[in-house]
Parts: sequence; C-alpha cells; structure tokens
Amino acid sequence: MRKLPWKEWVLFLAFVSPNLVLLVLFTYKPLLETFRLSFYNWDLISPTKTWVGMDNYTDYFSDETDRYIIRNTFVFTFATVCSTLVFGLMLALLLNRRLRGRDAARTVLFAPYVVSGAAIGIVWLFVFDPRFGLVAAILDRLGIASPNWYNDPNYAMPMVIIVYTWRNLGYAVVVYLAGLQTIPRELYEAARVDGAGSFTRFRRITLPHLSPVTFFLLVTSILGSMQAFDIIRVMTQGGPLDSTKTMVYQVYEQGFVNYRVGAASTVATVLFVFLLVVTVLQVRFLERRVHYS
Amino acid sequence: MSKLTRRHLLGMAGGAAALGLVGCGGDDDDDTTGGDPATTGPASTAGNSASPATTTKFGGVKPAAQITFWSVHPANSKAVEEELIKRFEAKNPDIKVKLETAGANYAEVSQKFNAGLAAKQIPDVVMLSDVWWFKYFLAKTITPMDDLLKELKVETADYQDTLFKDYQYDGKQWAMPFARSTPLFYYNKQKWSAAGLPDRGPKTWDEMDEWGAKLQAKAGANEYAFTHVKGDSYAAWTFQGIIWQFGGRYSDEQFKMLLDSQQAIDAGNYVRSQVFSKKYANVTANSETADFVAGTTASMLSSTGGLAGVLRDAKFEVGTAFYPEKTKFGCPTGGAGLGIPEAVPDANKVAAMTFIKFITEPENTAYYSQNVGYMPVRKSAVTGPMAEFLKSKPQFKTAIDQLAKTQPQDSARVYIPGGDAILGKGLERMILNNEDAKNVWPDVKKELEKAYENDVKPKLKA
Repeated sequence: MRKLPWKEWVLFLAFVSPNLVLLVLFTYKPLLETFRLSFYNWDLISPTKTWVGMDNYTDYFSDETDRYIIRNTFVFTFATVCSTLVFGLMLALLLNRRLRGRDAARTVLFAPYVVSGAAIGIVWLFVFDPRFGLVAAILDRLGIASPNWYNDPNYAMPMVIIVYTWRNLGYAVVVYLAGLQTIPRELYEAARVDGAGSFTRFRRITLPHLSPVTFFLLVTSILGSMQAFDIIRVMTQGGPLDSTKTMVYQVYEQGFVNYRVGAASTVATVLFVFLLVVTVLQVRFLERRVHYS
Repeated sequence: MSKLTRRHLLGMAGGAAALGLVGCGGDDDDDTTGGDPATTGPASTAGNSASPATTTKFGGVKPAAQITFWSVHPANSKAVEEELIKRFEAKNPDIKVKLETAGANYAEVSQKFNAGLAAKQIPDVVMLSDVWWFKYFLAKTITPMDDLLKELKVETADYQDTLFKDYQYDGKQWAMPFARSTPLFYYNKQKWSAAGLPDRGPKTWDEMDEWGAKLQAKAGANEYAFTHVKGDSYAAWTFQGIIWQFGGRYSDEQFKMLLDSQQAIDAGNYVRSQVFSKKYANVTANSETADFVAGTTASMLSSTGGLAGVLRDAKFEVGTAFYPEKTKFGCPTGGAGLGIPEAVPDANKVAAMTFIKFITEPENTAYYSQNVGYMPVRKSAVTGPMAEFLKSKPQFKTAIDQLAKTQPQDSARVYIPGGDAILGKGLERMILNNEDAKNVWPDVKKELEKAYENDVKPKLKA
C-alpha cells in the first residue's frame, strides 16, 4: 500500500473517529469487559469479584440445562428463519402481482415489524389462551381441544416461534418485494417465448435473481433470531420448564435475576462465538453461491 | 455487496450488544455503594456528627426534605400508597415523599435496585420481598435499622412478632414489615354448596381429595376444583406450607438441604397426584386469582395480599380458610418489607425511618390492610382500628388468626439468591411434566447446594 501523506491521515481520522470512538466505548469495551467478567464470580454490586479461572466455562459445558438451552436457541433460530424466508417469499410473490388493495395489504403486513415486541407478546397471549383465546375458538370449531400453550413444554416453543415469525414476516416481504422489482421483465418475456412454464420461470429466473436478497435476509434473520428477547420475556419468561429459554434470555436471567454476572458473561461469550462462526461460515461458503447481476 | 458488509458489521455489533448487556456495569470496582464491609460498621462512620446528649449516631440529625420510595404497588395498591403518603405529608410538612414505580413485581424492584446501586441512583426507601432482602444484607447495601428505631422511638414490641423478626440476622434489624401476607385457602361458596360441601375449608389434604372429586364431578369443561401456580408465580411459596404439613422441609437454618427426605418426596408427589392421577387440580395458565374470580377454579391457595381485590371482583361469595393439614399444620409468611439503603446520607435515613414508622402505625397499617388485603403489621391494629371491619369481613379475620400459627420460611427459599426459582422449577417438573419427586428433588438439592456454595457461604464467612 502506498504511504498516505499526513494530511490525508488527519482527514481519515477526522472522518472515522466519531464512529470509532462510539464503537470502542459502547461496543468493543463492554465486549472485552464481558469476556473478562466470565472468569470471575460477581453479584453486580459487591465491591469485590472472585477470580475463578475457567470454572464458569467448565460448569457451563457440563450442565445439562445449558445444553438444552443451546438446543432451544438453535431450534428457535432454525424454525423462525426458515418460516420467515419461505412465507416471506410466498407473500412477496403474491403481493408483486397487480392485485386490488395491494398497497393496503403491504402496509398491514409490515405493521407488526414496527410494533413493540412487548405489546405483540401481550396481545398474542390472549390469542393463545387455552380457554378464551382466538386459537382455542378456531380449534373448537374444528372439534379439536386447544393445547395448553403456556403450560405444555411441547407447545410453548411453537407458540413463540409463530409469534416471532408473524412479527418479522413483513420485513422479509418488503425486502423480497424490492428484490423482485429489480428483475428485468425482458427475461420473463424471453423465457415465455422459449416456452418456459411458470415453475421453470420461477426456478430459473426469480430464485437466482433473489439470491443476494435471500443471503442478506438469511444473515440478518439468523442474527436477529439468535438474539430474540422481548417476545419470550413477555410471553413465557423462558418457561415452562426452560422450554422457551434461549441463550440471550439466559444471559438476562443469570445476570439480572440471579445476579451471577460471571455465569451470564460466560453465556454471552459463547453466544458471541456462535454468532461469529455462523456469520463467517455464511460469508465464506454461502456467498460464493450468491448470484449478483 | 457494500450493503452486505455493513449489515454484517452491524450484526456483529448486535452480537457485541448482547455481550455489552452484561459488560455494562463492569468497571466500577472501586465504587462506594457497599462501603468497605470490613470497617464500615454502623457506628464507625458516625462519630463526629453525634451529639453527646443522645445514644445513637442519628441524634440531632435533621431529616431530609425529600425522600424517594420505590414500590411495586403489590396487589394494585398504588392509590392506597398515595393516600398514606398524603397523610404522612400532612403530618410531616417538612418531608416530601416521592413515590416511584420500580417494577411490576418483587423481582423487578430488586433488579432496579441492583442496577441503581451500580449506577449510584438509589431510593431512600425500597420495597424488598421475603426472598430478596437477604441478598442486600449479604452485599451490605441495606442499613441496619436498630439505631434508627431507637432514635425515632418506634414501638417495636407492638409489631407482629413473626413479621418483625423475619428481617433479623446477625443480631440486627435489616428491614421493617409492610406488605406482609400468608397464603390463604380461598373457596367459591357457590360451587361448594353445589357439590354439597359444608361451608368451610378442608381440614386436611385427605378431605380435600374427597371434596376435590365431588367438586370435579360438578365442574364444567376446563373447570377444576383446585389450581396450582407455576414457578414464577411463587409455587415454592405455597408449597413451603405443604412440605411442612407433610413433615418435611426445604432446608434447615444451617443451609443443609433436606429435600431427599421421604416427607419431601411424599409432599412433591402429592401435589403431582392432584393434577395427574386425582385430576381435580390444574396448573393455572397465568394467574390463579384471575381463574378463581372467573370461576374456572373452585378453590386456590393464594396470598392474603390479593384478598381485597378478590372480594371486589368475584361475582360469588368467597370463603377463606386455613391451609389444610397432613400430619401437622404449617404456614409461611411472605410479602414485602421496607429497607433503607446503606449509601444514603444520615438525614435521608432519618427521614426514611420517619416515613416507615408513620405508614406502619396502627391506623395506617389498618387502612392499608383493609383496602389491599395484606396483614396489619401491628398487634394493636387488630384490636383497635380494625376491630369493626374484621367483624363485617370475616375473610380477613381468617388471615389474621392464621398468622399466629405461621413460622419463618426455610433458608433455601428465602436466603439463597435465586433459591425460589430453583425450587419453583423443580415443582414445575412435577406438576407440569408429571415427573416423580424422587427424581426431581436430588437435582434441585444439588443446584441449591451449588448456589449456596457460590453466592452465600463466601459472604457469610467474610
């Protein structure tokens, strides 16, 4: 690299420092601090912290509950990301047609994304109420008894997955719609002239052209899902029996309910490593297959 | 692609934010909130300000002009608290009290207090529940009250003994009782008579089993004779009474965990059988009092704190009774007391205690009790200002009568930070997952022992 004259250096620093200072202060310093705290036992308020070395990590990796929570985190992420992308694409294809009331439908779909998670959680708690809720009423019409969504560990996770997907669907739809608009019409016309059916056109034209958008959505949704908190906090508090407890919830619970800052920092550090690895893998292996026009 | 990398970076920053969540209070090793535990006794900081005429370090200290009170308004008591403050300010025009909502439940006020201690933004009076005050005693962040009580001539002998002594440790008083409760057996008289039952609570759990079957026979779809609560609704509190009634305990005073006893296993399997084999009990989806008022459960064990609300909201006649017995009687107390942070100036401590003294005076605790449901914390309130009221509302009297038979809770639940949640999760495994107590309690025991070793033992030694 060619050496920059000092004037350019000053200019460079002047441009970069406001952001850099904020990042260092509010992101990287706490990050390092958290990493450091994972080697201590501390209750957040006592003046002294006890150095425990790797104890928090050995505890964490030998505990069955912790493994269960890691599993929950991945189940939740996998399910929400898949359903958001699949349903998001389907709805975007539908809304890309010239339908009556299309704009209104787009607005309605996007609205949940800007509503606070706490409000969504409370409303959906009513929807899922096993006795008086909307879901129970619909199932009742079909002659099916409503499962006890709040108390049954097998149903609580599907419940939060449904709510979280509902909330984020609008975002995926909007991004997919934007992607669909960029595909040149001529391609479809040419394909039609060549006798390609609608499925072939979708597979050979639409999907490849949407791959950058899909990749973008995949990365952001995975990061978002792995850090989902508000809906779980409001709807289930991680229960029943830890069945909806994810790693971020565990960070909160260990740190600010049980006041085990060391244990919380350990979970946070492990989660950070997971996110880093997932993202690096995606960028390295998936991005190659992304088709940029 | 440029957009992508930026996003990617943002995402990483997001991951870092999750980390930052914990890192944020991290660098204040040298703060003063706790004081130096080794040297800061209640007397050593005072010295110079105490005048020779008085016996305590608070003699001659002028109360602060304004204090802050952090409350969670338990059982929707905000308006009642505001009225008490109005009365206080009328009587003490020099002290203003600022009431602040510090959360929706006891765990939340504790979280806020903890964060406040780190950020040095603390109230002068803080509401601390039965399971939280001890943590702040361990961290040396609440002040011992003995000198304040003496200085302000608080009639400590008139406080209900069990409620007052709950906050004693190491020979000192760490908080004062305020919104105190016991669990109470509530029953729906309409459903009781429909099932042909006498107008009283069951004397024993065996009788409850018999009655439960009769009630269940009359129950509609999704209706139950009795309901249990989940862990985060303090299942381990109502179960504290049940385990005693079966002759067991969570733990003893020396933090020895006793959950592997046959009695503890029997008690656990009993509540499990109510749900899974006898099938007259369910586990409430979110609130036992809401279910009871709606009529979907015919009876429940719930705090006296909600009594006024239940009587107001129920469209049927409500009966209250003592806990049923098994081999013996057993009933814990619960609810919240008021603490004063160690780090506030003496003037604020004096004003805070003046306020606590006032709102627990017989007329005021009586007013609070009648309008919310918590126990009057003063003996003379029962015979004095509340006597008439108790005659017209016998449901309240049950709670006060039962108070005489209560005992302090086991250390595992109230002294181990997070102990209540650990026990509650164990109970959930029994009443939600139908797991045998024999397999559940050993796990719970192990977890409690670990929490004790990590969070309590090192601090008690210090």
